[in-house]
Amino acid sequence: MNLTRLLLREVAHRKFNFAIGLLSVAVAVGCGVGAVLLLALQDRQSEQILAARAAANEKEWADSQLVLADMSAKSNKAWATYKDEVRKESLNLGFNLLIIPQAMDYSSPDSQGETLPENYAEKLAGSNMVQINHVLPFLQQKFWWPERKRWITLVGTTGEVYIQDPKRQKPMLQKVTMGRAMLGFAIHQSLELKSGQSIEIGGRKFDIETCIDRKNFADDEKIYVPLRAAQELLNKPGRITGLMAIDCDCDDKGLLAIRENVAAMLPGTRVVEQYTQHIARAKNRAMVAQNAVAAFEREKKARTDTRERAQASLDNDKQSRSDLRDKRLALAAVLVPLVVAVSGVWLGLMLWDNVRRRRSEIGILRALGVGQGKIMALFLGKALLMGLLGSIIGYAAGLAVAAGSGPLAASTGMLAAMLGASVGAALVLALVASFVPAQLAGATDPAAVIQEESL
Amino acid sequence: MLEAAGLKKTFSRPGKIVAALDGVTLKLAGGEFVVVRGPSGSGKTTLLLTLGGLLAPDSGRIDIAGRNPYELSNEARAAFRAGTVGFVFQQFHLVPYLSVRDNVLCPALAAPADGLDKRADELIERFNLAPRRTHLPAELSTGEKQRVALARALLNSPKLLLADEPTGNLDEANERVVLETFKSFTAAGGAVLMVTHSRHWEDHADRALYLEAGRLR
Repeated sequence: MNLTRLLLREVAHRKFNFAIGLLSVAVAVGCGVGAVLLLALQDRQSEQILAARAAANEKEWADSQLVLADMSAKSNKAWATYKDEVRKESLNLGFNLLIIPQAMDYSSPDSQGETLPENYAEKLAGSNMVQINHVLPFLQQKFWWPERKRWITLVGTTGEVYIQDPKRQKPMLQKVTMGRAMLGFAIHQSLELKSGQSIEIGGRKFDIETCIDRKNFADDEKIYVPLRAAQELLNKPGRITGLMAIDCDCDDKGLLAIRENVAAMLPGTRVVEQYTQHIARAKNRAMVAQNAVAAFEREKKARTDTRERAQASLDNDKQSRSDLRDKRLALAAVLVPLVVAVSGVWLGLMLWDNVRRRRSEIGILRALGVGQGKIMALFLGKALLMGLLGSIIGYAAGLAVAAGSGPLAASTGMLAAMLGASVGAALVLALVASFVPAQLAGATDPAAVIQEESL
Repeated sequence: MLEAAGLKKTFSRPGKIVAALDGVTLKLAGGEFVVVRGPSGSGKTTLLLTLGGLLAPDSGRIDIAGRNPYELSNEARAAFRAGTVGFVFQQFHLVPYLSVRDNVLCPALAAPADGLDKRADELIERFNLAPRRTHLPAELSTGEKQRVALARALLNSPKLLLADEPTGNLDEANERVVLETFKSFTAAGGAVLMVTHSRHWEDHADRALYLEAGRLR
């Protein structure tokens, strides 16, 4: 016979009492283990959900970037297309701006008498006015062609373009070289003239350089000769009718700026915009391009807003999850110690009741010479056994509850550490709870017990 | 074996002081069987507990096998008791969840020693408890319970056996077993002090004393 055997016999005899003790320890340990594991599980689930949301946000943003890049490329292309088409349009049209004397009727720029100094061309070309790309001085006037006895429109042009940046710009018109002429469609057709033939105009001989294709009624009646020759034929040396120009920007602001700049630079002139329908078309194209840019900007803003809202939503979710975790942690911080305390008190009361019920047995054992220490050890041993087994059961229960709620969010090492901590804490709890009952048992006076039972 | 001189023990009761022992002087030699008789409340159980080292007297001196147990610490007195004194009670005081054999072996908790298992088995045989070896006290008859209590009291081969009404609930056959046990114990050199209210035992004892109001006559 030894204490262990006595202890185990007593446990086997009072199974329910022992089971209740086990349960109280198991509840305390299970509550603690479950709380820790469930909090860890919640942490992991939150991390996973937030990471997934963050990844989804990033993917959406990356997709947005692609869409925006595509839209940006399209708007850039629209602008490029617009500019290119304007340029091509301008090439087809010739010059779209006409700088003429203030008093001249621009619809008939061949009025007698109104001219500008020829050096206006150099002045304008050398001004670095960025809105104007090409400048062409011309002298145009109705002229009686004595050799053919008919009216023509004689146009004198340098045939060369005053180019602001020779490296960047190409000549827009074919050069009319000295001693040569280009004939409008009506003229070379009616007179059956061909390139390479010669004609005389006002006694001056010109080789036909080009027979121009049909353009319009006015142009078809024109003969183009070098500016100097026209000035001599029309007796207007150093004078020009105007300047033809191409501007780089067909919008209203650009034209206004050109008008202001030219008026300041070239006194007595005005700027007339030609080919309104083409400009309107160009404006439409510009509008398309601008719309594309605006659509891009709107989309960019919408997607940026969406991203910011998604980020804000994610931050809110993160915060609310953090708040929820704090609340659960606070609850666990109250609940677990409370359960442990209640379990400890319950265990203590149960052991105290066990001592009370076993008073007779303790008394006789003490009478037989079993020391106070051994009696205390008997009850402390029982409490430790409850603590050991209860902690294992409670740990398993807490683990099962956590596992039932989702994949365990703890490593094997952490689980082992928790098992160790659970057993240790339960043993301490059992020792604390059983200390007073064990002392009471040890202090049982055998004489008092025997006397009571002898009455 | 046992010497007690001038033992006094009082208890406080509501409104009065009761003298359970009032100058008891007693000598008990080895091999002697002494019966102390007295009416209920005469202090018989108090005398037994005091002589057995369980209840310190208010005054007086006790010497058991050459030692005064009340000069020892609690733990030392318990150990002394375990090796020197055996108790038999009317109520048996068996441990309810231990088998017959384990109950007999209870003194081993106090003073473990080699050979106690074998001695327990011998005592079980001697008291005809072999068929009941594994039974719990609740499964035993009253006589069997008292035989278990006797076997338990004898396990550590005490020098002094103190018995409190050991046959109060027994039939004649079991009473005879108790008597024979005491006889054989004294024959082996042990001393038996039995307290009872029955005259019947005086015929079997070496000496009979009468306790009344805490005084021996």
